[in-house]
Amino acid sequence: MNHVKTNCVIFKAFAFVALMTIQAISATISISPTTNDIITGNSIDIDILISALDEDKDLSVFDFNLLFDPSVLQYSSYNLDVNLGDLSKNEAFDASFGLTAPGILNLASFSGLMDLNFQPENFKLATVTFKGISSGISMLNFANLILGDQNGNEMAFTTVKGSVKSVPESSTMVLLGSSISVLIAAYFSKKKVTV
Amino acid sequence: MLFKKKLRVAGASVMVVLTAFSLPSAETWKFGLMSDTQWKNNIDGENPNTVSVGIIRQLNKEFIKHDVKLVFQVGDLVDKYSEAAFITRAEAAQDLLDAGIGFFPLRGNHETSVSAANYMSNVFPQACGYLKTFGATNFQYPAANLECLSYSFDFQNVRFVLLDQFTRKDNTGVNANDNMVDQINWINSTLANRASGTHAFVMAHKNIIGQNHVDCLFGSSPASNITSQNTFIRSLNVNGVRYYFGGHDHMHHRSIVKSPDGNYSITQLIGSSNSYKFYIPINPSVDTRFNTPPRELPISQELFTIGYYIFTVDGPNVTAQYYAALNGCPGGTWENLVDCDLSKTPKNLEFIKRETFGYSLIGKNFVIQPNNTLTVVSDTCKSNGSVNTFASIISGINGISASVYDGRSTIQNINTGWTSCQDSDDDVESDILKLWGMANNIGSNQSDTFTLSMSYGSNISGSLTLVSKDESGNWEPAVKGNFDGTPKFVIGPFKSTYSLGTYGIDPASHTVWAVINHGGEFAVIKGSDGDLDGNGIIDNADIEIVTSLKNKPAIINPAADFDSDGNITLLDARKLVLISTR
Repeated sequence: MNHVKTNCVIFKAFAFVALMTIQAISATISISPTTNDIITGNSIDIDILISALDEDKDLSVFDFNLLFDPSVLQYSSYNLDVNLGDLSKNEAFDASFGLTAPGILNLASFSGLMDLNFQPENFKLATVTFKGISSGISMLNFANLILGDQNGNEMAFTTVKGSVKSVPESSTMVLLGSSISVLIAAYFSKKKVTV
Repeated sequence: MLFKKKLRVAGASVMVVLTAFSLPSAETWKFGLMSDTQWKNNIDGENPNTVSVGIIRQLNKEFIKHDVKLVFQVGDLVDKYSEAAFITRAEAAQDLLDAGIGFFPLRGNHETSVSAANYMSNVFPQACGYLKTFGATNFQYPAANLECLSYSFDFQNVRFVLLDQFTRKDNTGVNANDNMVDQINWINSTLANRASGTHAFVMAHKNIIGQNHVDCLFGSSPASNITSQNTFIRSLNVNGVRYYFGGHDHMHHRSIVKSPDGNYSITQLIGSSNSYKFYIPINPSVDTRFNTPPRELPISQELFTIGYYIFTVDGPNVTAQYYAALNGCPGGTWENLVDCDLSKTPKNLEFIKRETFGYSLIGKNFVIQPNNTLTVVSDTCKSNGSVNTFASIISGINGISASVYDGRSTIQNINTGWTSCQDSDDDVESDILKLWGMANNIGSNQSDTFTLSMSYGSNISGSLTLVSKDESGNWEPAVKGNFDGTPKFVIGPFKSTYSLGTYGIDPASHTVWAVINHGGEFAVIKGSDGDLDGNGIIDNADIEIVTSLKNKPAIINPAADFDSDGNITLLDARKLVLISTR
C-alpha cells in the first residue's frame, strides 16, 4: 500500500514538473520540410519556421546556429523574412554571422518595431539555400538557440530538426538506364515468342 | 519638453477630478519645536533665574538659520518658578521675535502654580492671541480659567492645539492628574472644526506614555483616566492628527501609542533635552509596567543629547527633522553618548541632523514589525494635477531593527507622501514620492535593502531613471544615494537575484525600479542609460554597438549587458530598442 502511495506521489511530482515544463514552452522552431531529397548538384530551399507561439507573446529576437554536414551540403545563401520587420525599411536588424565554420551557419535578427502584434501564430523566420555536393544524409540541427519575446526576454522553446538526403545524379541515371534496358529487352523477347 | 509635460498633466487632471483630495493650498513653511529649558545653578553666569539661557540662545540661532515661522516649547520653561524666571525665559526668546519668529510656550511641571498660571499672559501675551502672534490667528481656549494656558490657533494650513494640565488661573485643578478630563470635548471640537485638508498638531508637557516619568498627560500613570484616554486618542485619530508632542522626559523618543481600548493610535514625539539634565528610561518600560497588553510601539530613541526639531509643512506633506548636539558631558561621542548633570553651558553646540520622518495627508502609514516584509508598502498619487503615479516596494524585509534603552525592539514606521507632477518645478516624468521612516538607526539614513518601483505614463518613451534627492536637493539616480553597492543599469523587470545598486526600466510595465537602502524623495526623470556612445541620444549607433558584441561576455562592455546575465546577446539589443529614440 505504502509502495503504491509512494509511487503515486512520485508520479504526481513528475507530472507536475512535466506540466510546468510544458507550460513554460512559448514557441516551437522547426525545419521545413522535415525531410528532403535532392539530387547531388542541385539546390534546395529550407525554411525555418516558428509555430505554436504563445498568444500573449510576440517574437522579437532569434539567434541560432544551424548545423549541417558540410560533406553532404554546401551552404549557398539565406533570406530573412519580414515577420520581425522589413529589413529594407530599417524595421529589423540582420545580426547574422553567416557561415562561421564548416557546417555551422549563424542566423540572427531582432526587431526594431515596438509593436509586433501583427505576427501570426505560425510564420517563417528565414529561408536557407543549400546545394547537395555529395551523396549522403545531412541532419539539420539547431544549436546555441536564443528566442526573445517582444520585451527582449528569453523564451522557452522546442525544436524540430530536419534532414536532407542527397542522391548523386550519375547513380540515378544508371539506375534509370538499366530499368529502361530491362523493359525494352522484355518487350522484344515477348514479341519474338509470339511470332 | 516642458510643453509636452504640461500637455500630459492637463490630460491627466481630467481623470483625477473625481477622486481629487481637498489639498491645503499653502506655501512651504517651517516651525520649530523645543523642550524643557530648566537650569540649576548659574555657575557660568549664562543661565540666570533657573533658565538655560545659554542653550536657548544657541537654539534660537538654529531656528533662525532654518527660517522657521514659529517655535513651540512644550513646558518646563524654568526650573524654579518666579516672575523673574518667567521674564528671563521670555527675554531669552527675544532673538526669535526680533527675527520675525513667533514663540509659543506651554507650562510644565516646573511652573505649575496658580501664580505662574496668572503670570503667563504678562510675559507671553502671544499665548492669549493678544500680541506677538506673528500671523497666527483664530486663538481659542477651553475655559476662562485656562485662557492663555491651554490654547489653539491657526497658522497657514495648520491648527496647533497646546494643552496645559496644571493649576488653573482660578486655583482649581491643583491636583494635575485629572486636568485633561474636562478639556477633552474642547479638544475634540477644536480639531473637528477646522478646514478640511489642513494639518493639526497637539502638544502638552507630559506624555501619553512616558519613558522615565510614570506620571503622564492623564494622571499618575498611563493607566489613569482610561475612558478619557480612549476619547482623546480617538479624537486625534479620527480628526487626522498625526503627531502628539511632549517633553518632560528630556530624551528624543518616538513611538506609536494605542488607545487603552486598542482601537486608535497616535504617533508620540518626546522632545530631546534643552536643559542641564538628561533622563534615563526606566526598565521595564513604563508601558509594560502599567499596560496589559502593552500599548506602545517604539520607533526610535536617543538619550543624552541636546536637540530640537524642524517641521517643514509643504501642502499635504510634513517632514520632520531631529537635530541634536553632543550634550557636553565629559567623554561623550556620537558612538558613546554619556549622561551627566551639566553645571556649565556647553559652548558651540554642533547640531547635526540625526533623523528625518514625516507623513502626508494624501499618503499612507505602514507599521512594519521586525523581520516582516516591506512589500506591503504601496501607494498611488491621487492629488490634483497628478499623473496617478503608483509606487511600491517590491522586495525587502525589515531585517535590521534597533532597540531602545529598555530593550524593546523598534518597529519601522513607514509613511508615503506625494507632490503632484503639476505642483513640482522640476522636469519630472512622474509625481514625486516621499518615503519617510526607512532608516534603521538614528544618525544614518541607511535602511534595509529594498527595491522601490515607480510608474510613469504609457505615453512616455526613452530612457528613464528612478531618482532621489541628494542632501543639496538635486535629483540623482536613486542608487547613487546607496550605502555600498555598485550601480548597474538593467532593462526589464526586477529579479530577486539583483543586488544592491541594480536599477532599471521595464518598458513593458511602464515602471522604473532600483535596489536601494535609503529613503527620501523619489521621482522618474529622463536618463542617459543606454547611450553607449555618449552622444546624448539612444539610436541605431548604440544598438549597433550591442550587436557588434553579440555573444561576447559582458566584461567586455558591462554597460551593454542590459539584462545583467553576464553575456551580451541580441536580447540586450532588443531591450535597447525599447528605450531608443530611433
